[in-house]
Amino acid sequence: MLRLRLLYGLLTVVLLLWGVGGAALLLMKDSSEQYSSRLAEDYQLIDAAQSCRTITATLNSHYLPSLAAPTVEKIPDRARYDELKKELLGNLQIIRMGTREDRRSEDVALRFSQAVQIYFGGYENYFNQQDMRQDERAELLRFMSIQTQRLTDLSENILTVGEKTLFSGAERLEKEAGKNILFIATLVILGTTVAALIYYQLVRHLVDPVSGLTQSIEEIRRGNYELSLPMPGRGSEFTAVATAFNDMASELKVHRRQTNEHLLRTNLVNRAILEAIPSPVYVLGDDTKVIQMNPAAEDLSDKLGIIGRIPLKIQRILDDCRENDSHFLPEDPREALLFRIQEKEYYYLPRIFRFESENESGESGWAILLHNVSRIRWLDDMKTNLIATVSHEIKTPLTGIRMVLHLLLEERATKLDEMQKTMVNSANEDCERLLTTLNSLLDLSRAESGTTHLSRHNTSLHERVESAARTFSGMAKNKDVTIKVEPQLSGAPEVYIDPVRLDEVLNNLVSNAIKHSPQGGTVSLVISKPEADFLRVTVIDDGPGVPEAAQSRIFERFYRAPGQDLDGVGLGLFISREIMRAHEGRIGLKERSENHTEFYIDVPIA
Amino acid sequence: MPQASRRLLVVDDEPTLRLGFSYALTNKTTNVQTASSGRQALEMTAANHFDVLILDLRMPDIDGLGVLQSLRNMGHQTPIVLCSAALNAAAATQAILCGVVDFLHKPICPAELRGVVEFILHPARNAYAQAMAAARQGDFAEALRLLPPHRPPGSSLEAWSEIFTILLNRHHAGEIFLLEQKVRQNLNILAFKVTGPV
Repeated sequence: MLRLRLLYGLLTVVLLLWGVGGAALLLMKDSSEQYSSRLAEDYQLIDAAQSCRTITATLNSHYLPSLAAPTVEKIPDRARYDELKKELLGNLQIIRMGTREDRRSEDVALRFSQAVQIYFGGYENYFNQQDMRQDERAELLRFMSIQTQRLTDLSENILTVGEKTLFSGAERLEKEAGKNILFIATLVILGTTVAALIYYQLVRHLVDPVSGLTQSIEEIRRGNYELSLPMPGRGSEFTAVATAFNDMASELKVHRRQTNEHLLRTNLVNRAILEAIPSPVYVLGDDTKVIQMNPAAEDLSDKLGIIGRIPLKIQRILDDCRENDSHFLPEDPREALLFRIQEKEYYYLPRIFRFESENESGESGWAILLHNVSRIRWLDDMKTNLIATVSHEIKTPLTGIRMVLHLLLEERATKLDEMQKTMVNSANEDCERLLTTLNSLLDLSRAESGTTHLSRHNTSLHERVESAARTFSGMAKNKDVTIKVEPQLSGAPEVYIDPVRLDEVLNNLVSNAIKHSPQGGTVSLVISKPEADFLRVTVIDDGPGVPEAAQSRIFERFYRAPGQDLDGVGLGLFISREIMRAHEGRIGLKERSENHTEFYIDVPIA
Repeated sequence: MPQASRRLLVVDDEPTLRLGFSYALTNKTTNVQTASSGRQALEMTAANHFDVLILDLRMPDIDGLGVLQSLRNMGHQTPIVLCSAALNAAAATQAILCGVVDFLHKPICPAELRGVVEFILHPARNAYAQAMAAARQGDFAEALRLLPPHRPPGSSLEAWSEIFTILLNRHHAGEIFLLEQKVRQNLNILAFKVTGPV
């Protein structure tokens, strides 16, 4: 359709071009023909007038001298006269034809024609009177010369008339040419107008739909899917485009509705889940601004008087997480944070999770779940307190019993018989074992409740290691074990610790190492610096090592490796781990080979 | 010639322990009495003179520290042995500030009990025993002077010398914190050992 319009438009322009060109050519040809014909006509008149004069002159010069002569022997032959007369009459005919259009010139031609008749009458006279007298001849001669003069004058007039006609013809031609220019100019203007019309038509049918399409695409880009393109007329090339576009828009609309519904559903589900979670949940953007929080979180923030924000303590941990780009997912309720709400203490274990969308959209942020562990903490504290209280309550009478048993065994006042002695000894041993267990339980409760109250200061780690070696020098000597402390690491920094608690850890490790060392073995204590933030103490013994199955469990409470017949209730390493954890340090086992056990602790540098 | 009778008071809420203690300590030269509570102990000390008190910390009415404070407030400079299963740094620091330098960690055996009483009543001629005797009188400068010059690192001698130094240079309350820290670090070695200072 558009192609056809384009063709028609251009065809019109081409036709106009041809029309203008053809018209110009025709007009040019016509005017040149007119000009040449007019010229020829007018010139014929002048030529005829001239020729008339020439003919009269020829006639006169041929025949009249005989009139002037004194005697006439013979009248010249009139054959020439007839020939010339015929010619002159022909010319006369031409003159009459040429002067037809103008009354005045016709009149001149008439008079010329009469003069010619008179002139020829003179010659007829001449030929008819063979024997004229001299005076008659002179008279005729005079008459002829007068007539000739008259003819000359009249031809002069005709010449003038001819010239005049010539000029007026040129003027007319000029007028004609002016008309032609006007005609061509009109044609050109018409052509221009048609071209302009075609241009507007083309714009309307070609450019407008394209710009309309562009606008619609822009609208859709802005999210206005409701829009549709108006259908162009039948047969337009844009029909297909508009149809495709409208289809696309409606599909997008459907798609968006589906997406919206899906989003709405997901949102509802999420909201329901969030609302169902009793723990406060905050969802934060990358800039840690709160995007969403569940009712529990709103409640908590309200009660803490920080509406719409996360508690400062959490913010600090979050800042750490952001710095390290890591999650914070503690398991131990003892890492919970304390919040005071209306005079009551609540413990919340913060779990901070970083989320990032998998696609390119770059959506990321943080989710914070505050797990209320107040109850767990309370139960844990209760348990610890119970253990401590019960242990103390058992320990107190036990010290009395032990005292009495010892006194009996002293046999100061009375001697015991063998049976009695055996029984009292057995009772004493039970008593000792019970006391050891109670002490371990007390240590445990102390480790669980007391590790949060560290009294940390900057200390030389080497000094602590030396001290531990000194403490166990006696025990080592009894077992013929050598304790070797590696020389101090040059330039080793101080560590930030609670010396009493760290001593407990070191003592535990050294005493374990001695216990598991074979007779005559060596226990080595080495300080190294594996990382920028930690100093490491490695305790190495050449005992049989930790059985593989037990390795993962030795730090559990009350765990004792199978086949161990040594004393202890399996709390030493657990307490050590608790102490190291409270120090933000580490404890671990690094067994390199059989008969070679390595325990290490990483102690934070001051 | 028989020595003059020494009067000892055992204060403990545990009957078997009172029984054992008095049995262990009673001999020709000693007269042992017992009190089952802090209140009773104060009543008895108000009525009679005692040469040494064996004092438990945890008691139902007035605890060991309370008894100690009351006695010192009343001007009694009686040597006191703090004997407890629950001796902690804070209590020990308070005790040291009241001039108590003898500690026993329960459970104890009779030898330790007899040893500490002997150590107080008949201090040996050695520098350590004399220094502790001076400290018991509240004369920390003399105690510091008397301590043997050789104090190996990590020994109780070194710990005591540091504690005495802090006590002598104590000008403000903040120093108590320092003292408590020192005590906490050395709580185990500060206790009386039959074998002598460690």
